[in-house]
Amino acid sequence: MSMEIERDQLLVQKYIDRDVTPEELVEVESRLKTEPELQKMHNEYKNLPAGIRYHVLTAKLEQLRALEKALPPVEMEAPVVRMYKNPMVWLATAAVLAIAAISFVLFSGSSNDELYAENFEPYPNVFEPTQRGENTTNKRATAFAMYEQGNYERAAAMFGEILNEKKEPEILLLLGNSNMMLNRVDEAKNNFLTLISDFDALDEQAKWYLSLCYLKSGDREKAKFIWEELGDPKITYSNKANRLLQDVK
Amino acid sequence: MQVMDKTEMTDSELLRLVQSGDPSGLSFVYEKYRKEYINWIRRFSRCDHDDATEYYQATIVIFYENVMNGKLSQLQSSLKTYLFGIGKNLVLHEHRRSQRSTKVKAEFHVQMHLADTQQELLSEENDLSLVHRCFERIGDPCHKLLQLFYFNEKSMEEISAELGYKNPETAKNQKYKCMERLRKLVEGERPMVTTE
Repeated sequence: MSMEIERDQLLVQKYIDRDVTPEELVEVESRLKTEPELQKMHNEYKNLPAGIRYHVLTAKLEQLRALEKALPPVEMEAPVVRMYKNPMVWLATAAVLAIAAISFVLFSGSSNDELYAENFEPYPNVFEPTQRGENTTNKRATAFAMYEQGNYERAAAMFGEILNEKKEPEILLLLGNSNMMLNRVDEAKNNFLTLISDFDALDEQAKWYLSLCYLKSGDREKAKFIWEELGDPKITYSNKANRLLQDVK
Repeated sequence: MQVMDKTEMTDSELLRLVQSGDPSGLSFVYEKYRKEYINWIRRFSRCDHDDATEYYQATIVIFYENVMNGKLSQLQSSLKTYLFGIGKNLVLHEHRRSQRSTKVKAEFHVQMHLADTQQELLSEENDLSLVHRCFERIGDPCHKLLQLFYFNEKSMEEISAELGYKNPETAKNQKYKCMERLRKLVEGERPMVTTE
């Protein structure tokens, strides 16, 4: 092997290790733009360090899998519905249920409000759960805590402020749910539509709640269109969506 | 010396135990948060138990990597919040990449964590998998030396002392030769897996 090739190998290795002198850095970067041979060499070296780390981590993953096999199975906990900590939410929920019951007695068939009341429950804050005894001082943590406590008015205001700084799918989902709890259906629709159009994450959840907004505002056709999509058995909401499709037939 | 009971350790003490390379530290962390994490991620991602376990294993491995490469030397939050934060990112990545019918694979998320660009991971047999297979065959001293340098991020002085080289310069020369050997092994395998 020629001395030049050996020098280049050493230089490229030092470059990927970020161990070059300022002069060597200028040399490598300018030559990488013009010399295909050096580019090829660089491409061949550049993933080796990550591959070595991956090798070690794969071994660690195997150890964890062996450990998992030796442990007792994880029991699924019953979900905790935190909103009921707030007595106002109890009252609001009781009122909704009472209205649903009266509607059931008075009208034959299922009304939109009835179906809505049967199917809507606010999405739990599984994103940044408040720790027991945690003192929430920052805006974000407070917003999540307000949501958990059923203070949707404050939660919505704070989620709105957070969104003004940066759009995030979780915040949009919980803001939409807060707006639904506050009966601001049009605002909730906008939240879910933004979530669907701007993010891939939480897509099914956004579609489910959007369909309930349409139901609430009397637009059954749009709601049905979404339930047909969510009715695919691979999707988590398929049972609920198919049941609603049956109910509105 | 009295050995400290792990159940009484603070998060920082647990972190230091993992940093020290004691494998019981990572196993303890795994068991400590397993039930809570798996229950949480099943609700968060609406996935089944197998997928939840894959997420958890990927989370623990990524946590381990961050500890070992020095990215996580001190916790800014509780260890539980840190692990759940990793999990949240994994779920968001998974939702962006796949149809919901795809099963979660911990290896994919570990590769995502390591790769510079997602483009590099498009093929099943990508560079990371290829290097991983070749590195398995490289043998010592190269295996040990490269792992100490690239995973444990040890200096040439430390490697030289640990592996008994005459001086750091000798260890550095050996490392250069080992990298060249690994590169040749990988390039020797590549034509069999890449069709252009």
